[in-house]
Amino acid sequence: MKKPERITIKKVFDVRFKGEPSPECRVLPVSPRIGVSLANLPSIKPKLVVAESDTVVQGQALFYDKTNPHVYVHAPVSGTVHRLVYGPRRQLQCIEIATNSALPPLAFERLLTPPTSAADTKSALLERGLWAYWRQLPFNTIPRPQDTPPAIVVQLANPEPFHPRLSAVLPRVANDITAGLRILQTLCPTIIVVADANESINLDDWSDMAQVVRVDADFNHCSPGAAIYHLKDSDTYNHAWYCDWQFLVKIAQTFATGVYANQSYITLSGYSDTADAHYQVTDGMDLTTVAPPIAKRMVWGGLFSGIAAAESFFLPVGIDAVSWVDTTETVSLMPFLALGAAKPSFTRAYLGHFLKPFTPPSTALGGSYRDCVSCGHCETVCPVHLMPQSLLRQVNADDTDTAIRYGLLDCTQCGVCTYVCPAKIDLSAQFTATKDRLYNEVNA
Amino acid sequence: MKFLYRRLQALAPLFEKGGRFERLYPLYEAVVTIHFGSSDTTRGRVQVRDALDTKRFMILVIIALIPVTLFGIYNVGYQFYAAIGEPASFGSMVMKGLTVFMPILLTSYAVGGFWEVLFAVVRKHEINEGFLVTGLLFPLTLPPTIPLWQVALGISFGIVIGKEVFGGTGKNFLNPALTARAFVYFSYPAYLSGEVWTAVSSSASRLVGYTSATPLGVAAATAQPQAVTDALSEAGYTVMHCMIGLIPGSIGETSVLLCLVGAAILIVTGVASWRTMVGSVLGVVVTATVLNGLVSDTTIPFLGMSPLWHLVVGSFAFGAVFMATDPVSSPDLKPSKWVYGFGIGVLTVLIRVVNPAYPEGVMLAILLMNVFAPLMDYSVAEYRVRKRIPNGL
Amino acid sequence: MWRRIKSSQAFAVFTAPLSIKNPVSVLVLGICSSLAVTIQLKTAVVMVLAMTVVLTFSNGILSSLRKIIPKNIRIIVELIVIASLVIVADQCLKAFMFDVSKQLSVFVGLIITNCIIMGRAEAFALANNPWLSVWDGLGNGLGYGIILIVVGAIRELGGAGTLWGISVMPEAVYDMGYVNMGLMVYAPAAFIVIGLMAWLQRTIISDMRKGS
Ligand code: SF4
Ligand code: SF4
Repeated sequence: MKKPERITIKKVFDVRFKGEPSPECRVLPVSPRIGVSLANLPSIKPKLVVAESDTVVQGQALFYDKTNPHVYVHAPVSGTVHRLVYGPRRQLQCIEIATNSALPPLAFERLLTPPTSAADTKSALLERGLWAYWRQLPFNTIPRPQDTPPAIVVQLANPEPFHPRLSAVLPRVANDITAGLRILQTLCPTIIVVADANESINLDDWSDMAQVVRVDADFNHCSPGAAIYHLKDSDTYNHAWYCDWQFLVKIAQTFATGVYANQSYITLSGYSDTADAHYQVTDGMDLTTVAPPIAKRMVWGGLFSGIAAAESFFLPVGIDAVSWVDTTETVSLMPFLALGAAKPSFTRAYLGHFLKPFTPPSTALGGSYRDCVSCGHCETVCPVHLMPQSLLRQVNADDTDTAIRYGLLDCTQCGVCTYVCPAKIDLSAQFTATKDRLYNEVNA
Repeated sequence: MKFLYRRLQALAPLFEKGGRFERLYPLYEAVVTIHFGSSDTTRGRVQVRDALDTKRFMILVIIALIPVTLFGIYNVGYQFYAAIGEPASFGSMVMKGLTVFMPILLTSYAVGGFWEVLFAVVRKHEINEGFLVTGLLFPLTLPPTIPLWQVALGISFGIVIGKEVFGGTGKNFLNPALTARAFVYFSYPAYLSGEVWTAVSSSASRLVGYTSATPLGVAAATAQPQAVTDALSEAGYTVMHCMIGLIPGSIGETSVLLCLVGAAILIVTGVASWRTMVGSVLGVVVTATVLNGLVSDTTIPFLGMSPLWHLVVGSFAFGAVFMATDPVSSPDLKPSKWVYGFGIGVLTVLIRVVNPAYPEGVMLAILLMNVFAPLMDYSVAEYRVRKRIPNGL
Repeated sequence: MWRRIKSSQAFAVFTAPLSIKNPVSVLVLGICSSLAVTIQLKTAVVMVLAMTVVLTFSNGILSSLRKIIPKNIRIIVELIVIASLVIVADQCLKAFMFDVSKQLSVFVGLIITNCIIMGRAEAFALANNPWLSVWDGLGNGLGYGIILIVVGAIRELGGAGTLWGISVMPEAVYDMGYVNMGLMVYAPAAFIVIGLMAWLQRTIISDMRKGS
């Protein structure tokens, strides 16, 4: 592992969007009904251990992963299983629980000092239902408990618009992060803490516990994948594990109190000037209690890698940002002739590039689907120095071997290449699909 | 405007799947998106998209071409009246230019558009706006004396063989406008040999040529004891002339100055690669300098033409600015763009000087380098891939 | 009678190379000579004749010898048979059509290396009886011929306005400003014309497949 204090990803990408949530952090009460939604649990094949109208308590197991039978997901609150929601092909989508705060939570053993061995830590995490928050490169899947991580990346920032800023809540969580890092130290000697160089946080406390790296980049470029790409000096780190600071807070609190920690920090953005802020919420909360549906597209996650939420309004497991994107159609005559002072523009083709206006995010495609015109913009923005257009050619030709050689697995699925493509090709979706297919082939 | 848009939208069912004119959907789509832009919304995980699209791309190229086009129209008229020796007003020169240029342009657009629509309908894909650029570039590279049927044949060849056989814009590896021009050049060399490029209409309706050699024609024809520069100045050409461009030549290619204006627009808007342009200028300068060093009593005088002259005569400026930088047919990666540009410069001078049968080398140089573009990209990509830390399964 | 012929194996062997297994436009064999000799219709036709004769006889002879040719020296034997036939053809041309043979120059001699001949010998004649092999040779020769003759006609008409050396473009067309297409005289034109024909034919074939 290289040991720089700072990595600069020299990829200019500074399109700005309106709707930055205010740094104020509000605490929301638990909603009358909560839902454990699997929308953001890739690769999990759930096997239920509760049934409809069962009573569950906070911290009790709800289901486990058939491919990874020790990995359970636990109930964030106590109450009654109200409904099980299935999607197409009888896929479990969501477990709705009617909250009943009168029921006491499940009591785990309090661990006031970190476990002494990796095996102890792992079994403690598994027992407390916290494992599903881990992710592993390169497929962004949940790692197998029996594996040993070559390195662990802890993300202190997700600069994609508009994820929670650690600086907004730092005083409340600083001690928990320290405690969390102590626990992680038992798992792996190589811990990398990745922070956004543009956010002013004091990282000195953590620099003797982990390798602290400030990433100077725009947008999603300080994702764990990008950080590993810029830090790795051998291919053993390709399978590093990663998590974000919220996970550290969760494990630290659960270990210390013996009660399953069910609080998360999220942001709402693009909803309304008054509602766009940071929130401390109960996992799986019903968003309609704070943001009733409006005529905008609701997105779980940020603008570049979010999931368009269908009908469900329960905050999915592992999602820390909710964005609303404008869907109104604006009709203008020959839009491609405009000077475009107010348009989001990565290239100099519109004045927006120079004026850098804060534009309200919109779902408009801004053009029609075409074949790649080899403009090279995607290559200019890729944080891991891929050549997306060449990669796409390999992927389209089904030449997976060459695609892998060209770095397909380094792709962080950040979506920036898709954003800039004038031919409106969804490059990152194709890469993601190919990676998913590969994962399934390898693990079949 | 909103009203018009709603009316168009109301027609959509007729053209969508199952509608009466389902086959003509590409045409409908083109009409709607040209006027109002696309109303598609994002799918997948990237929720927002940049405002740039291919239409903007193409429009910016066309805007960059406007100065040379206008000047070309004026120059056609100017040369006409200069040739027949009559004084004329600015207005009548422009009129004359328009009557010569407009039919060529319209033929090019009509025939090119026909093929584009035909292929779009048969292949069931959208009409690509790329032909708007091709259809304008091609006439600008032609001499004003060109018969219209040759324009029609040329643009058909360019669009069909240069582009559609490979699957349309994005999959073509040759620049369609240049392919069209190469077709006309090889098929009807008498019209493009660089000798007879002033439009003078005789009493009959067809255009006949009036001999007035272009600078390249003069340079190629220079015989031994005389130096090229002398021959050029004897024929009345100075570097300044060629920069401004009030000289006989292809319609849009004479004014180096306005090509530079176009280049500025393309570079400022980020549509064309400055690497390609600079690379090709470097290529010309280096090659011409080397060749100048080889001059002796037995070599042809053309060998001694200075780099500066090479840069300003013929269609080098036009080609390097508008043709070489076509993103589809030029390489994708930045290092290969340098090599590509440099190669164009080198080949341009070599073809001009070493083979005086082809005094205009830019077109062939660019087409040749177009062919090599994928290879350059491949080499650069492989080089970069070697340097990556492997990430396998 | 016709029906019997139609259902015979020989008929299938004979007609396949004329259409869906055309050696030039589908299998892309024998391209080099197609480029060289198709500037005029006449040279193309003569070339086709020479080629067809050589191909038919070589297929027939090699097929009758197929049981006695040792496997390891078969290429040499094939070459000897083909070369002898080519020399005969060349000498005949020199004797009876000297000017055409001059225009064809080395290309008659080079029939020996034409991939169609070796290809058919290897792929067909050595595995089938002489009767079928002769039909196969004839079919492939004519399949090659169709393409050559069409290309030759297009190139001669486009490049010189003549067919078989006779001017067929009316003077009036030239008076209207028509000019012969110089590109047609260059070898790349043959490439392009063959390419277009291959495109057309493959589209038709794939449409046929989809239809049936
Ligand atoms: S290829 Fe695209 S999605 Fe993948 S890392 Fe590069 S920019 Fe991001
Ligand atoms: S941004 Fe899109 S059009 Fe441009 S090179 Fe990449 S894939 Fe091709």
